[in-house]
Amino acid sequence: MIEIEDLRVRLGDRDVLALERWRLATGGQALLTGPSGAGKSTLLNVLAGLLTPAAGRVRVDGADIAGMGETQRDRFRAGRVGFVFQTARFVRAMTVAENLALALRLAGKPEDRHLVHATLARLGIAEKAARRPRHLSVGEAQRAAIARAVIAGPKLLLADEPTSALDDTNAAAAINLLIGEARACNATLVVASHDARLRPLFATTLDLTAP
Amino acid sequence: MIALPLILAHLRDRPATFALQAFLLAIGVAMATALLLFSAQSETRLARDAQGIDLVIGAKGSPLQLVMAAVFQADAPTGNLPLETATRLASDPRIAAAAPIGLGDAYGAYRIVGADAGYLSLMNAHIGAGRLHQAPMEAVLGAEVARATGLRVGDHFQGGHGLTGGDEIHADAYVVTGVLAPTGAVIDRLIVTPLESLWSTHGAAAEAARETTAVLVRTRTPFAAMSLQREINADTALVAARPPEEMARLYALVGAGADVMRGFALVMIAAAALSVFVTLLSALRDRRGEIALLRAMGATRKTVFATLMGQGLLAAIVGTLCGLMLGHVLIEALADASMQARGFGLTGRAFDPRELWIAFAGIGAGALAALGPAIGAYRTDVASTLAEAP
Repeated sequence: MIEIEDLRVRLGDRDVLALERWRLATGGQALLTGPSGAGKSTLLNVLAGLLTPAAGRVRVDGADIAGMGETQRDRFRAGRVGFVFQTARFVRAMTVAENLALALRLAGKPEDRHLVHATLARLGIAEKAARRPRHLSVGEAQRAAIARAVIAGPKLLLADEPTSALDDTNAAAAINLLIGEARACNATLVVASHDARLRPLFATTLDLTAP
Repeated sequence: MIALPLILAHLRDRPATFALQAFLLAIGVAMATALLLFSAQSETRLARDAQGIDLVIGAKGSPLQLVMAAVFQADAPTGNLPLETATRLASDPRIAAAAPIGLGDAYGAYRIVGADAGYLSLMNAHIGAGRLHQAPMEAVLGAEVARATGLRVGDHFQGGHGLTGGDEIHADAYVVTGVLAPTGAVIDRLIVTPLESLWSTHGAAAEAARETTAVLVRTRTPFAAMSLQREINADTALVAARPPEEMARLYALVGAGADVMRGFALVMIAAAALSVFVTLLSALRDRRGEIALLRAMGATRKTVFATLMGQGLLAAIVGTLCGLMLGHVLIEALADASMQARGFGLTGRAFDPRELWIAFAGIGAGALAALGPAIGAYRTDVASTLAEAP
């Protein structure tokens, strides 16, 4: 699913990430670790096609995303990548259900109301469907964010510090949901975190150090 | 169109902001529209009323007042001149047609004009029902008069002294002999009777006392109108006025007021555009994180551009359409409220093609105001914005 060779990412005039070689098989689940500034978020952004590397080869799901144009990368991301952030982000003017429907629409899929409600129900927040995101608790918001990331059936699920803002109970619930949902849609999961609570849950880890 | 549900969601989220933007624009557009309709319709009407009349001759006084009174039937006359003088002037070889008219009486809100068939042909009016007036105290009604009063051929009515008809009712009754076909000009609102009727109701039966208010003249050539005007104004105690000249003077008088209104309309449209700009600029700042999120979810730069642009355009389109409608409602209300305005040919039910320019201006102002913030959304750097706390 992921093939990286001689990757170098520059921000301004300094290298923010250098990675010689990394591979992750389809359906694989990996944890990116390392101190802040080591380039964990940068690697996620590269995998999502949000940052263009200065050098190297990056293939995701057979596509050479480093060599794509911007519009192609937008389309690639829309159809195949789901993103979960440290603090849940939503379109605040829309209800939770509408946020999920928007994700389907952006992925080019029909706005299937049953799918929206089934997904929310599976994640235990069906009764929040008609609420605005600001009325959700932190734990509920992160579950809603996971629901939105997986609803369109992504090939690649990226999570940037998904548990760092959560207490132990919510963190455990969130990471278990992420792992379970990734498995359920056979998505490759890459979690960037310095949260030590997550280490035992991943067989594959990639330790990044600042270049 | 992925931006559409986003635009509608933000509209639903902040209806008051949207309403304010649309309202400001609607006021500006309504003022511009009302002004356009008013000036276009009144100018068309005045031009039609004055069509075919090259010169108006009357008693010494303001030439503008003379034209207003004798052609547009909208002001008090400057005075009277002896019929004999009028007849002598009308015999000038440069004159193709001349119609002496007498003013001073009215039936309700409708003026009674003493004039013969020559006046009707000068005004391009034709009999629609019945026959022309011939004897004293016979009258033909303009189409609008007949419609509004319900008078029909054979009916009798009594005129009153004064141009509003309220003052003192004359004892003698007129008989309606005919109704004129509608012309869309001032004659629709007039009652025409032989000059003799006015003389007899005012006790001026003696030949020497016979007077007329003005003489409407069509000359053989435009040049003749100017030379006649010059001669009359220089040599006699009368005044000769050319309607186009006086209309130009009238527009110059009214124009200053219209310019102020037009300026005010522009200020309102600019204020509306500014409010769109400020709102969207703060929306851009508030929603940077949301824009980055949308991009991370696969929205293109064009989509986030369209989201902000669409929000501004929606307010501009709604505001402009409401403003156009409001402008028509205003003019129609004015015409309803005042007989004079209606008589002037004002109507909110007619569309002027130049309103399209107003629509372009209104929507264009909104689009221009939205452009900057929308470009800001287009340029949002996703990776660095996502690194910030939401």
